[in-house]
Amino acid sequence: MTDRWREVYEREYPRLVRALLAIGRDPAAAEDAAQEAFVKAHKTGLDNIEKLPGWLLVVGAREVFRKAKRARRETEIWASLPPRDDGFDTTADRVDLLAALGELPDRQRAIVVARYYYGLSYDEIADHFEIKSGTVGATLHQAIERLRQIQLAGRLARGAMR
Amino acid sequence: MTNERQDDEIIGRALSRAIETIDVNQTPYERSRLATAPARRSILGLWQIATAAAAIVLALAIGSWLTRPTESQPGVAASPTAPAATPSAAAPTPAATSTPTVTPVAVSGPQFADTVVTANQRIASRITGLRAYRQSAAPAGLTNYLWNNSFQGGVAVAITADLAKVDIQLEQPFSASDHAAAFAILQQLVYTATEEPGIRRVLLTANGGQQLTIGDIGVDKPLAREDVFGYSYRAAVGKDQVISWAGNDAIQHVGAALLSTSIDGTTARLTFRGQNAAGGGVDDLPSVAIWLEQSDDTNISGAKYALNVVYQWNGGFSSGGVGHTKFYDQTPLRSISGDFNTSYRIELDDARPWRAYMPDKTQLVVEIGGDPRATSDRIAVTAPKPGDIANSGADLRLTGSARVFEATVSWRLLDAASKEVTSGHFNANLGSSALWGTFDTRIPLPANVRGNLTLELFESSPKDGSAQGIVQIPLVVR
Repeated sequence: MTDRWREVYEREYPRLVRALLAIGRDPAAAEDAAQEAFVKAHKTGLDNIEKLPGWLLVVGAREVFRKAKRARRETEIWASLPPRDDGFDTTADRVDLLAALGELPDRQRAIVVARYYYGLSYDEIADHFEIKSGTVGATLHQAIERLRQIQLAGRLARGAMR
Repeated sequence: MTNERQDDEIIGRALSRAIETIDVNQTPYERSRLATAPARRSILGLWQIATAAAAIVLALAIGSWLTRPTESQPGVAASPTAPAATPSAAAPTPAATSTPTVTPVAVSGPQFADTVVTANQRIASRITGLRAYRQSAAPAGLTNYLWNNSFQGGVAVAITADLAKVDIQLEQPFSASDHAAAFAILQQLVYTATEEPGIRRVLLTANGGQQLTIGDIGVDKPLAREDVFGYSYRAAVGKDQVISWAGNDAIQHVGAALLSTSIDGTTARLTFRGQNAAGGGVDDLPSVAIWLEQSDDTNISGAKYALNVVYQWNGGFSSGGVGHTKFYDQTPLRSISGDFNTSYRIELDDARPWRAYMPDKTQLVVEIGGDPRATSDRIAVTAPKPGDIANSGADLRLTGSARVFEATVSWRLLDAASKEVTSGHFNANLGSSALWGTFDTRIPLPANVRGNLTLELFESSPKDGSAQGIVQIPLVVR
């Protein structure tokens, strides 16, 4: 195995696992899918893949969905996410956002992660996820609107408890 | 950009930051599937679990029957400390019990902290992991003698080549109720320290280089796993120690399929079956050579030792097998590499005794380990197990394998005072050949004898009739 692969792996792997964890909500499945994505990339060949990060994300996401379909189990991992030491509200907001993300339909979740965490363009998303580029914006907006509602509900609930 | 789009962007960025804070496991490249693709595509699940956690080693708990004091008569497995560690001058009286301890078993311990990066740190972390590994977390039958024990201080590690010097800060000595407990602690420390790839021996000291004393055991030299693994001998190592067996080389294109693998803590049993590559049917096995050699556990699929099982390929063409590695990560079996048709390289935790036998011409069984109390260099008993309960006046079934003169296995039953109650002999199906013979027989237990008895199996020396290769199996007869 070449050093080139090691470099790619070490650069891309953490980000990919986080994204897949956000999409699939199952740490073991995320790791598994990320590993699988790299193996597939290796089979395809580095030179045959135009934009590797997006390619890995899409292949990994597909893997996550395939697995989730097989075992439709909901985990409570969002509740157990380790808090960071940067103030109650920020942490709570993050947890709320991630929890809200978990409420979205699979496809919307993947597209949101691809857009905002991976920074893929509308065209790239349309390409990778095989949807019309015109509907990417609408889908994203719909998803974010839903996130906002869920997050707001969480914030209000917290405020009420104080 | 519209206001709406701008708002979306803000939430999107917040979400991105939130995802960035998710803690993930960074599987190192070396352990990734990518690193082993495509030449060695393999099942990595277990391996990953084992490396994400600090692999530590627990002692196999044993039945609490009472054996007679054995200090004057070191049984097969009761004296493994002799070459390794000598009792200290202040040793408590060893008269109580000297229950032999069976070989330790590796488990996944606590997670490493992010700061644990060097071999020294990993070794220290695994050892401190022993005190943090709650007994309640241990798989059934395994005991962590170091949980809640007296060691609360740090662990300092220095490495020279394959030797780790491990100094443990002890406010009080380790507490061990008897010799068996002390020995179990020693086993756990030695096995756990040598979990680190490349490390074969460990020198244990306490409080800045002073001699470590555990119960009645004083540790005064570097120890390898084989010094403490509980068996009365270690397997012969080296290509010159090969065992070969002439099989049926008249049939062409017959390989050996790995039919089954069973691992139960101390023993791994692999069954191979002759399979015709052309016809697909079951056939006599071809000739086979088996030898144990030191291996390299700094290699991803390697362990401390490797047992090679290589079959002859008859009749030209390629043997057709595709090289790959299968990981097991269950003591004593780490992984198997090879073409899984004519070649198998079985990676092992230590150089424990092994034996091979053929139940019939189409099958070869390789048995690695066994209960140390029931295993000698020429006899291995699989039933009864030490501590089993037997019925007075009934027949007792004996199964196992042997490699003894004229295939004759002698046995005798001793009472709690070491007095012979009854005795006899039976035959294994092969004598002193390269392959071991097997036996499955019944011996009568007298009706009037009850209590704690010891069944001894041995070879009567053809020279002078003395008992050789004794195994001692404690039994409770009701």
